[in-house]
Amino acid sequence: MAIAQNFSPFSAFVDDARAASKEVNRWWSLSWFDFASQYRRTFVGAFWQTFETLMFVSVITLLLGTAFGRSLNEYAVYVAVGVVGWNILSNAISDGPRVFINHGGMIQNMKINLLGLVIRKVGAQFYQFCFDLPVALFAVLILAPGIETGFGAGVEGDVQAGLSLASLTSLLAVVVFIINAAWISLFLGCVGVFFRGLRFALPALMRFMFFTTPIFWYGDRGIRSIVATYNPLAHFLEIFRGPLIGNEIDLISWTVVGVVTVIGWILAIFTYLRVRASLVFWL
Amino acid sequence: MSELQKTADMPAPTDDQDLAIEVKDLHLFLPIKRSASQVLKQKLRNAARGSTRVDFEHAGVYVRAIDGISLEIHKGDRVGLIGNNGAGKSTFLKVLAGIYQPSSGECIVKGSVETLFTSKLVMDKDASGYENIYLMGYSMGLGKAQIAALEQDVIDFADLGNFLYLPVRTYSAGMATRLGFAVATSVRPEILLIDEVVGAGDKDFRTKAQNRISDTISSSGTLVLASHSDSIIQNFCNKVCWLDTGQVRFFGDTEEGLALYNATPTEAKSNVVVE
Repeated sequence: MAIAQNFSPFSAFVDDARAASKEVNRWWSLSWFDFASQYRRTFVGAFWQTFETLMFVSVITLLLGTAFGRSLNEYAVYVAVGVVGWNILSNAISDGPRVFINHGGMIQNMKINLLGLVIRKVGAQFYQFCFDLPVALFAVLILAPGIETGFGAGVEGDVQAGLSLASLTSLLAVVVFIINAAWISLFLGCVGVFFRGLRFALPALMRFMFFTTPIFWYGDRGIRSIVATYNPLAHFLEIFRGPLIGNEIDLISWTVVGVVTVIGWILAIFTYLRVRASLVFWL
Repeated sequence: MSELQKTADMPAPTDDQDLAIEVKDLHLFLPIKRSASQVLKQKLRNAARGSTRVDFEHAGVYVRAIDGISLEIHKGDRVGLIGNNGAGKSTFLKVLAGIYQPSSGECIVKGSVETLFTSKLVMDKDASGYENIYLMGYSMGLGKAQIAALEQDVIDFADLGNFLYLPVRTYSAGMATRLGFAVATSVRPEILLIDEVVGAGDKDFRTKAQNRISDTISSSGTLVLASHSDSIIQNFCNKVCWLDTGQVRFFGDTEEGLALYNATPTEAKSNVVVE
């Protein structure tokens, strides 16, 4: 019995990707729609996202403040930048299984490019990041300069918290995050249709990972440094946060992220080709 | 109409230039939904017992939804799909639309395709009707400029007045249908596939909707329409295709096909086979 469960050829992925890239504008319009429509009928709109993140960061800072032997300012910057970076990764993984499930009706009733739906999802996550960003910027621009001298930026040439040339690598990190969010959404989106429990399992996992990733604690000594070393998410976070809090660019972290990106994309494409034809029957 | 009649009566032409849709020995097996999680659970249970019997590939049950359909639809044909519930009409339309991929056989569709399977699929209830025109347009694959060009036509047809600027949740069901229908039929594809939706709405709207569809297909050509209403089929179609358990029972002249279909007693129409 021949069933449409066989692998699609690799060229199918290339064709789909090309078609989706031609329509990026259209998909991003839908991303904005998805993101903004959550905040319809509210007074401050999407700034609720900013507010939520600000609250979260403030509470952690006030609660744990000086527990790690750092000044309150330094800790606040660390947590703020960390949480903003973490949100991108966490959203991508938690929302991943819903990418196709949420558009089941559409997929079943019109010919639709599944990769376009991935762009749509990642776009919405990017917009969310944009509304998280003010919290990180506030920390880096306002709080960070106060850390060492109390009078703005530090000595020239020093690696310093706050914006510097090295901060550009944080921008690069955001781009890398988006590239990773895309494969995560594609992979989990495909798998999530078949394993419906993932929708609930992954948010739970991410709650666990939040505590096992150095976001509100420092991975500098003892068991904490071991946890931070073997948790790939810690490396992801480091390439974004490090340059903004005055750490040097970490080659090991970049290597880990690079390897994960490549392996992740291979896995995602493989999975996509496997389920491309049969996915619609399972929605 | 004489032009169309001629097309319908023409013998199959030797060159394929004239064909809009070509289906060759099409088969489609639909998996009966059974989640992979359940399969996994069973696998683990078996593993615990020391047997590994379940094959993920073929776990579960399949419906033979389309069972060897071969037919040719020429440009300008308006084909009505008839048949009992579960005969494979909607499934066949979905294969033609490219939503389902055939399990075996070929389905060649030449030209741009637009589907009208359900009219308010992607509406956002909290967004205004106006915003929804764009939301639906984007979802259908139109660009911003294309939607802007169609906007006025949609607004005229939907005829919602100032409701256009109110959220869709304030609309009556009929108003929402009108808006969805207006957007879905605003593009002029070469091939239009319709599943049942023409009958929706009040009487005025029905007439208006039928006129609009006539309009769309007179400018573009090919139509495949699934319906249980004889009058709709007679209005629109110059051919009918009677599907029964995923097979073609009759393909040809409308009146002849409908007469044959209506004359056949229920017992002689078989039901879906699950295997």
